[in-house]
Amino acid sequence: MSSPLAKPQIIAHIQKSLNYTVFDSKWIPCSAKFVCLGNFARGTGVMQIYEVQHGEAQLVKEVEKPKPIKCGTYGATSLQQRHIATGDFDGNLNIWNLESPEVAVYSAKAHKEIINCIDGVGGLGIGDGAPEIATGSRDGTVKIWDPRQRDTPVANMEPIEGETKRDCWTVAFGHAFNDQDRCVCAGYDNGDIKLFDLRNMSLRWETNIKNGVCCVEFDRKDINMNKLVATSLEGKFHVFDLRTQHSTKGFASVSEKAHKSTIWQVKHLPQNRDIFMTAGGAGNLHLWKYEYPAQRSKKDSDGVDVGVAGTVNLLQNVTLSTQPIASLDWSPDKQGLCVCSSFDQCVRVLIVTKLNVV
Amino acid sequence: MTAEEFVSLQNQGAVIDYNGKVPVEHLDYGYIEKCKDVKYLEKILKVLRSGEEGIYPDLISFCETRLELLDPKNRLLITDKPVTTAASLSKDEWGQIVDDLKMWQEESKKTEDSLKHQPLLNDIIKENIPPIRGSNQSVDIQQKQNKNHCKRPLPRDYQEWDKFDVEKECEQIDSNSSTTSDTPAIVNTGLSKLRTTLDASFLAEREQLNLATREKDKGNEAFRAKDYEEAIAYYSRSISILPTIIAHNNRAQAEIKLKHWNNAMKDCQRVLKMEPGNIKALLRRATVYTNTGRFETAAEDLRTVLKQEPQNPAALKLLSETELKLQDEGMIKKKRKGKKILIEEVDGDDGHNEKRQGGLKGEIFWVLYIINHLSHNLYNT
Repeated sequence: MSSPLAKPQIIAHIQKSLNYTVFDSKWIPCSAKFVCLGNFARGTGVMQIYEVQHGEAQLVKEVEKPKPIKCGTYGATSLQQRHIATGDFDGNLNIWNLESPEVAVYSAKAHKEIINCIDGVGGLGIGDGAPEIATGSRDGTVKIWDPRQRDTPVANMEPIEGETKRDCWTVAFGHAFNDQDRCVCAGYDNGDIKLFDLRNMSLRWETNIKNGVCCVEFDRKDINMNKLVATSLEGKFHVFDLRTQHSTKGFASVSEKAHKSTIWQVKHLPQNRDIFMTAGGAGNLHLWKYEYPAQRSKKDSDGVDVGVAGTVNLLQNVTLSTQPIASLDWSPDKQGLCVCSSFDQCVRVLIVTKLNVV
Repeated sequence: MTAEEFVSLQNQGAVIDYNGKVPVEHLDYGYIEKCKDVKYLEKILKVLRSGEEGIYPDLISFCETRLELLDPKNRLLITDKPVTTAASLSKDEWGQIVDDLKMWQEESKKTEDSLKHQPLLNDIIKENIPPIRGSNQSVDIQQKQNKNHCKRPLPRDYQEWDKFDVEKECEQIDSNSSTTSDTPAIVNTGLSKLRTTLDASFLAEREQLNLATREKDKGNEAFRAKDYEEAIAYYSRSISILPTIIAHNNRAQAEIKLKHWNNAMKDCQRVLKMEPGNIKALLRRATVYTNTGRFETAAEDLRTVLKQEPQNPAALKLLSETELKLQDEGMIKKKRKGKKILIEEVDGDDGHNEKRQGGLKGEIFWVLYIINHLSHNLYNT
């Protein structure tokens, strides 16, 4: 790893300027296409499909919708159907078949305010159990939806009456390694991170990282929960080892600060859960690797198991843009391929090399 | 240590003040070169970079190299790098990447077409999906305060003390302490709840392959995190979908780590059935053999590996180890053999010396027998 050539390189493959503000970009599973979701200047929403072809991103389809679209996921659809679930500025959850996008396959008025974040599990062969979608909103609630049930959520995580409502910025599924177990993690604007156990319908763990939580992600959704990364507003991120939960100390964690600005996104490499990329507010990307400690748990002075956090190593970093990178998505099919969008109205396809040798 | 050095060290120690301002004297090649305090160097570098005391590009880079020497992974050394583009790579390298990408694009087109033309298997899939979660449950975001708030026992009156049953009370206290005490730590193994087989028969071949690969990847990750049992579970899942050589081989390795020699052997055998001469499987089988005391069979496997790959370092190492053990064993065996015969021969004897004699007799007898036998054979042919 000493020679510079052995390090992974982040290569800008394709860069495409768009005529709208793009909030989210996602690969369509089992294809060389990706979807961009956003907001036209005239106040409407837009979904565009691009295909990567001959070193270019070619527009395949464009659909305009009445409300700006904030986020989307393929996590709860089958590989055959590949329906995208989206959340919009008005709090609507929609599921679209992009082959015929005129009418939504599923539609629900999910929240009173903007849906900030969405995640899915149980589809694409990722995660055992039922397909479910989680949405988090400015109205302070996190709701779980089953596409087979119309109009009402299957679970609702909300602050109790009279409590101040915190803006939920991010949600992520995890722990879906059999039919029953499943967790959803939510991050809020006041730095709260809450881990809900959907099997027992209880709050399993919570902590506060002092600054707004911009993004949380489990290293994998479909395993016995292992690690969780949470990124924050002032440029720090925390990696929690979820294997050992101490009754008072909670989970062991390691934090790292490398970005000088907000870390907007964190995404784990689908082919290797210990490598992840963070995207920052100054248009930069950092590629990290988590190294496990020799022993992942130890006994504390009372003889109780307590987790031991590992370390994070920076593998590579680049600056792409002057504007925040708001979305990032690894291709589930092709290792090292990723798409990201930034607020300079640009979407980029990147290639990260040598990921299998680190 | 000379007096001068001592003084300078003392000075260094005395003036380091992390909260205060860095004195101008410290912004100096001599000082930076000698400074061993990473934190203070960071501070100096920050001052230099800020330009408050003037801009000295040489000194900045000097300070950076010094910091790199002391702490190569220091955060301050992370510099903004422009993104790499095709132009900054060598032609070959870029060509390879482009070809690779092109292949993937074509392949994914085919996959997509095949997905589209597949009949919808909705009914079968639906049967496999668990039912909808108990609808619209809600969870309070706030942590429920100590669920098991201990009720303070009320003071008993005197009459009640008469009925006091010590044993019963003790039992109750015991059971209380075991049930109500919060589990101090939850260790997430969850292995028992992980299914080790998956039914993917309703999926198309392509999807099966995807799924099997993913389960195998999960196994690899668990293996890297030293969760060998979990790794085995995921490899088993992968194998249950689509038995591949890699998954079997990897499971064998995980079984070896856990010293489950039998299971490891089974996996190796299966690989060798699928692909005779698979180097990894041979190597792993050899490991199993050496650990179960079958050094000769192990050596045989290793020699087969070395025939294919004469420079295979793992095989060379293992072979030399095995041969050493073989020698040791050979010596032990020899001793044992003598003893064995000795016991067989002199059943009932109690004299120590006679025993040895009897043993010798026995060995001689055997040698003679073999020679006789050989000569007999020779004459016959």
